[in-house]
Amino acid sequence: MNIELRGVTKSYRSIHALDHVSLLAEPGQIISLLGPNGAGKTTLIRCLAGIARADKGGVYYDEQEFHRDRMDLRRRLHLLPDFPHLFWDQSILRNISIILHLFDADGDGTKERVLALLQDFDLLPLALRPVQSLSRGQAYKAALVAMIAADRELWLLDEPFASGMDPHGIDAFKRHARTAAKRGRTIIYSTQILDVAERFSDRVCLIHQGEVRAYDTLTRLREQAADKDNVLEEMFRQLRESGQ
Amino acid sequence: MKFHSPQFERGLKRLVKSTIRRSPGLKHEHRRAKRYRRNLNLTWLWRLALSCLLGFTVWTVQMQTGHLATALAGVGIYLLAGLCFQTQSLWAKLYGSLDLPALTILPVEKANIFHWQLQKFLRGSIFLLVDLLVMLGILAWLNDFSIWKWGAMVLFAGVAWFNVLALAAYSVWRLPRWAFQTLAGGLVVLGLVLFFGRTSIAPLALHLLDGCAPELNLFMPTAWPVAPFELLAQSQHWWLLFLWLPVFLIFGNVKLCLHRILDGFIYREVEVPPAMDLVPGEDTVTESSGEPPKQRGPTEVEDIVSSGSFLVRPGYPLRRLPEQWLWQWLNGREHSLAEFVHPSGLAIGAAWKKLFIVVAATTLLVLLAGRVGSVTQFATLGLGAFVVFCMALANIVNHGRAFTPMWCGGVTVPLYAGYGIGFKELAGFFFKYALVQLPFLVVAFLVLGGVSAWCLGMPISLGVVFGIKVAFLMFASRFILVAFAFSSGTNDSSRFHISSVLLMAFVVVFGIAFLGLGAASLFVPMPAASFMLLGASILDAWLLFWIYGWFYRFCRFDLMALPRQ
Repeated sequence: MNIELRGVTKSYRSIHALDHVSLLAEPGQIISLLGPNGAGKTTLIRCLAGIARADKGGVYYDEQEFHRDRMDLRRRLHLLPDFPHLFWDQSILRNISIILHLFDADGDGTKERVLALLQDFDLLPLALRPVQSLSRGQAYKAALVAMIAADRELWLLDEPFASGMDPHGIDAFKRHARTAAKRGRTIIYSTQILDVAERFSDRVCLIHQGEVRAYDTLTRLREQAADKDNVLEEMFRQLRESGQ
Repeated sequence: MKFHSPQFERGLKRLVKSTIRRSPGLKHEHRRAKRYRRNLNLTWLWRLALSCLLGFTVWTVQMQTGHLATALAGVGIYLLAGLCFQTQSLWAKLYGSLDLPALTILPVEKANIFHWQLQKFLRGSIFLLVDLLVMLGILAWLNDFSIWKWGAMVLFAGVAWFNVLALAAYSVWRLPRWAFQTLAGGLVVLGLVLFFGRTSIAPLALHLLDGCAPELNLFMPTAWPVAPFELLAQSQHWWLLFLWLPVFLIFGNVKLCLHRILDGFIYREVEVPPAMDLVPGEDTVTESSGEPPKQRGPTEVEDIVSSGSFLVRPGYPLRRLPEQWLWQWLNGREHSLAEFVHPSGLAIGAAWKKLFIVVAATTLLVLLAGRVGSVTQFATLGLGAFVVFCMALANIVNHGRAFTPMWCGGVTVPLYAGYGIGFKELAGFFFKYALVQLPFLVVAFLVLGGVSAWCLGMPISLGVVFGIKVAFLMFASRFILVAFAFSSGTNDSSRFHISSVLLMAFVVVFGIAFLGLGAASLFVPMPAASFMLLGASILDAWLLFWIYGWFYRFCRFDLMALPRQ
């Protein structure tokens, strides 16, 4: 799925959350969204998911303009907010079942895939428990299992590394995301952990005050940076200095 | 309508279970996970018990009055309470359900979300139908109905049930701002008062109901579908059939109502307005003034911090005299608690002003209604007293945001629990808050008592004393309600544990004793004995609070609860 943002502007009254953001993402990439708090990362993810409507410009998937009512396009992407939105009084299995059914992804072979994922994320013994009885990390893992099993073309994740998941869960997520990217899925996630972004992304998008300050592959960013080992840290430092 | 595939889920469940069974490690973990104490869901048992109690009530009404119309008016009043509950429930399902955030981010048409929530609402309303079947079934049995009349009884129950649901939909569409929850709560309190005062208050209420049953059946929309039920018991009032005309009009309107609600049932992007800087010591400019939000530069903020002006307590709004009295009475710590519980200021005076306007209006209307007839007069008085009672209770039991449940990690924790606020100090603040209102409470019920005595042709002084007693009982209920408020944020009653059972036993025993002693204090004719009983009921309420506090202090339960839909 080709993803394109054309001059997306989103304001909350006088505050510009996104200011003429234009991006192009090809399939099969892992893109990390970086930026200080309040930079507009979450708003960008929400615009991509159709949760927030752009005031100006537009989001295009395979050259088709996207908006909330385009159910055909919405079925091709999956959003996982920082606090997972689930059916709290239902079991993990029912939650997965609902999500897969709504994405038309409960066909042949799905059961086995879900089982393997539950095992992978250490959720199998908890599979029949209501989500409301789980810890935040477990609930997030349940939502993640549904997301990986649904396997949409575009995965949108808001702060997956600050979700309360244990190291094993984080590792499993990275593994599955890498495999998915190889299959042509696009994974866009926001994070504040620069080490993670440096190791776990093909492209980095640095946002500051609603504007895209850098959007490139890590290799190319390294070529331009003075400190090749800490390229993202250096970029952040420059950003702060320019702001002051 | 289902959002999941049952076949897929069954297959997945089988697969999961068989995998768990094959691995001893997983089996062990699964067993450990199952040990998690689930929230006991005995709602259906309570509801069935309530249905039986309602059936018994209807039976008693018919047996004591001998009038089917009176029993049907009782059913209509119950359906009125049901309407309040159902409206609240429909509103909550459509706009406050915990499922909505999940469905919003999934690819589902809004119409499907709407129908799904509507389906959940319908499922939740089934017990109302059960109540109707039980109540009308009892009446059918008492009136020796033939088989076909029993069939008609089921039809009546179905029509009455659907009528309530249709009215609930109409209310959500047209009257969304009505305080249905307060009304429903008030009717429940009324039901409890009648239940516990079944030897004292209930006969009076029954007499009143018997007197105005035909009028109630004529004017209450919830009674319209059941009123013609009388015809099955050889009544000659064929005109009652005309009451089904407005019912069918309501039914015909359902589709339009649902369409209108669906039109407004759209996902709204939450736009948080940009906040202006709140500079200590300066009045905030409200948004409506049209001024752009003020933003201060870093130097100015630095000055505010270094000068320490941000540590100076801002002026707390004390608009009227009662608030000022309370503020003078509170100590330093309680001032902080007041600011925490009511951040936008105390509002005692304004609330009581409203209540006294209702008291005055009730008095005036009762005087005017006396010219129409005694039944109208009693009905006006009853309605007015009920509204005043609900308003007074809301004024006394104002917990602000102290017990607001905060979602954290799969459980909800009451707000106060996160701020190092103790049981005793918070309860102490609430008692002082209630005590300041006691003079207003006494005056309001003293007036109502006097008016009631005048209506009943009794000495005014008797009514005045009755009113004062009611006011003190309401004040005493504050002790119990504080304990209940603390209880709402804990798991004290949702697990099987010796301390939970003990606590519940204490609460039930002392709660019933309070109601019993309170009712007795109102109706025992000897003044000395009645005041002793009043004192005993106040002491009983305080003891219930004290016992709850003991359990609380000794950490017999957690300050968190599993969230409920």
